[in-house]
Amino acid sequence: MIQVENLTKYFGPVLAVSEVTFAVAQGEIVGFLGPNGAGKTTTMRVLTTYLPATSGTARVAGHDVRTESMDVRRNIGYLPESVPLYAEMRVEEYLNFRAKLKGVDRKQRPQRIDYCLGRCRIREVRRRLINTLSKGYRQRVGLADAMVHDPPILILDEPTTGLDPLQIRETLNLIRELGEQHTILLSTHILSEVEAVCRRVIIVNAGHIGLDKKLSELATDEAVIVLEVRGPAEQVHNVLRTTEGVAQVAPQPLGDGLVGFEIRTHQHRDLRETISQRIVKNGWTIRRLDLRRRTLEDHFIDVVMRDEDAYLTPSSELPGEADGASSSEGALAGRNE
Amino acid sequence: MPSKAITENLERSATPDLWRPAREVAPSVVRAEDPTVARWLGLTGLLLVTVGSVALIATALGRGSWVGPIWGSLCSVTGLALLLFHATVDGEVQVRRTYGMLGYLWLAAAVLVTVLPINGPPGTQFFPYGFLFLSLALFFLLPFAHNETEMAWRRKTVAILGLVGVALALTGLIGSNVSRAFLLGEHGPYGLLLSVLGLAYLWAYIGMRGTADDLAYRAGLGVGAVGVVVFLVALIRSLVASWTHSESYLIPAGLLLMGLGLLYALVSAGLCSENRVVVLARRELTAFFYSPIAYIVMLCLTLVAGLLFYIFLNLIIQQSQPGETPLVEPVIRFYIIDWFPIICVTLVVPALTMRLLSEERRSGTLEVLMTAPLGEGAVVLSKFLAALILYMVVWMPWGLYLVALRIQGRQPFDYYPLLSFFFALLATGAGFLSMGLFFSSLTRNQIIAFFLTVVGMLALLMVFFLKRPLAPDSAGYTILSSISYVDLWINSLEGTLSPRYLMFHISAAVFWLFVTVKVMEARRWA
Repeated sequence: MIQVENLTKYFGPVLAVSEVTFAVAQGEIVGFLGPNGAGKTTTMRVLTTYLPATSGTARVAGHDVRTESMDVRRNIGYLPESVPLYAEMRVEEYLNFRAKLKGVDRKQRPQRIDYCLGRCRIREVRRRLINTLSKGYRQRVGLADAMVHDPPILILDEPTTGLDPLQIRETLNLIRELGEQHTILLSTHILSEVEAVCRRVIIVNAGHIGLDKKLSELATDEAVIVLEVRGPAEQVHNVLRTTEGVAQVAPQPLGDGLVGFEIRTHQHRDLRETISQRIVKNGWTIRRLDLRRRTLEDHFIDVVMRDEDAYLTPSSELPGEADGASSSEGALAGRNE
Repeated sequence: MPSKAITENLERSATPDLWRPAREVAPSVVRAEDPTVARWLGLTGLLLVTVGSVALIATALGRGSWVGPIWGSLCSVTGLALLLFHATVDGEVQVRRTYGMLGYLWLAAAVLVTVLPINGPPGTQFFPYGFLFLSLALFFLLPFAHNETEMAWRRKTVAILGLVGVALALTGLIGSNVSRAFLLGEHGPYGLLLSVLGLAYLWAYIGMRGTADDLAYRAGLGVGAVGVVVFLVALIRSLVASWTHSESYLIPAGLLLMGLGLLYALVSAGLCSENRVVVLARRELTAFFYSPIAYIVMLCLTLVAGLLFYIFLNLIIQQSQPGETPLVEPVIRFYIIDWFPIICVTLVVPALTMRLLSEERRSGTLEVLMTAPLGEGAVVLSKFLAALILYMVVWMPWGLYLVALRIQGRQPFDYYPLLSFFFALLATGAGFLSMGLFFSSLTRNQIIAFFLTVVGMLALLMVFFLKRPLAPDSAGYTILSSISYVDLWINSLEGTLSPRYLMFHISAAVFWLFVTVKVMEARRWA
């Protein structure tokens, strides 16, 4: 539904978006993650035909953004970050106006608006002036406006900024529900939201993509078994090394008779039970046995930190991932306590 | 210790979320407040209306009264305005039904006054009393229908509004076509008033039902169709009259009927059309009336017009004294051509255009506007049309004073220059407003847009003075006098208006609009 190829955008001398390439298939909910100033909003503005790209192409719903912008606009619903609304209009009046602009048929308009009011939970405020509404309600009005013409694609720029926790939960629920029928591209810098709602995440930093993967893939990413045993270090190490399926064992002396290990397995197999059986059979006690995966936060910080080095092409891993992982995990080890 | 492992979405959706979304409650508790202020104002209004009407009736019956007729009419009008305000704000059952009854009473009074032979054959009292009562009926029935929560009453009232509208419109339009004297006779412009009033009632009917409703939508289309038919009939008759060299139909009957037809068509288009330009223009017009700008401008213009009217009247009276040379027709030019209207227009145009595009940029609404399937041309054109309509509406107070002169003076004066002045105003207005729109598109700051437009207006004014020292037959003089809008106004008020003088302003309007569209499109030039 969305295909972006080598999109670049310069604002004068400033490079905002650099050779960004990604695709969003129909029905996917994709999270566009990145620190502030990464180029998320600019990319979205190019996709919604508000700004032109300096180079590169983007196709939305099969139409080119530059040459067929009207067709693109008919197929998207856009909610900008600042949620701009006409403050002097009433909610229902505003939705009616936007529905007419977007060409919603006259006969279906009242039902469609009623549906959007109900879905976005703004029925109670339908007769209120927009400038008397709080931020959360305005955001919902903006969302109702984005979906009033039932577009196949929704592009939402930071849809939960400024909302209270209850409203964030409701909005995310709504986005998840909408994701069943629409394709959604959602930008945010809150990781938990991405984890809660999206199936795929694209991490951008300083205008280029650092990571573009399905969350399920990240979940089956290389995991490390963390083991703490009370026993003789050398022997435990041997037992572990000789266990079938173990690829690498990294010992960490902990003192006080405890030895810690970080074990990597072939094909990312979960060998916790095998290992615990062998350790216990030898008479040693296990203080800790855990499977530590890299969190999204780890990936995010990774992408942001390694920017001074090479740029990545999407959907590929850095060759030195193992070393990089262990060092960053070492640094974050304290957080896992 | 909770694991920080990433969980897949599938896992999460498999287990039903125990948290259910809260029942939707409005953000704040709304407490129904007694409209105390409105009630006090309504009471004051009632008092004023009583005092005023007693004074007016006393004057009509020939008796003296403490409160003179001028104060009497002022009191009555203010009182009615306050009553209307109360009717709109206070939705309580008894209050709104009382106002509803009042509205129906006005309607009955209008019918009686028109039908019964009072001071002459039936119908003589339609102008002004019948017309007045019908307008008041509309004003009072509208808030009643709007506030009424019981559907039966509401539907009946709205239906009555529609029926009255149809009756008035048909009588007015058919009567005007049949008889020229009916349209604009010495007893008063019956046809004109009936048609306009009918349109107002129909507008209320369509507005109250909303165009999503089939019947109202078809009614709106009907109004448009009628307007087009009337326009064409008047056009054909005027052409036929000029070809057969018989008495001119065009002025004034033909022109007025074409104007009426056009008005009907425009109102219909404004209400029913789904065209994006119309939808945007309508929103723009309502936004104008939400901000105080429109009201302030209208108030100032009314006051200035009042002052000028006073001076004008003094001039007429003075010049008609024995020994003085009376004013030569057309006298209207002494009313309109003066310093004040020039200063007014120099300030009013920037005030109307300054927020049009700069506000959209500043508040970010341009982003949602331009990501909807509309072109920049539609946006610019809609803002221009809304500003032009508002501009013509704010000049109305000047015309109203002349109506008062006509009624009070009981003497017809040459009003043909008013028609040519209308066109001159329209053309020059188009030129000014499009220039103001262009300056508004350049900046986010409304004040800068205001000042740039003032400078532009002053430059156009200067042309009038620059032309003075030149010799009248030089090329420079001719060019400058085609550009100068003051000359155009003066000429039109003297009754001479050739279309080529309008050309400069119309072409200027097209030019400024084109440049504005290009400025808006520049955002999308890579």
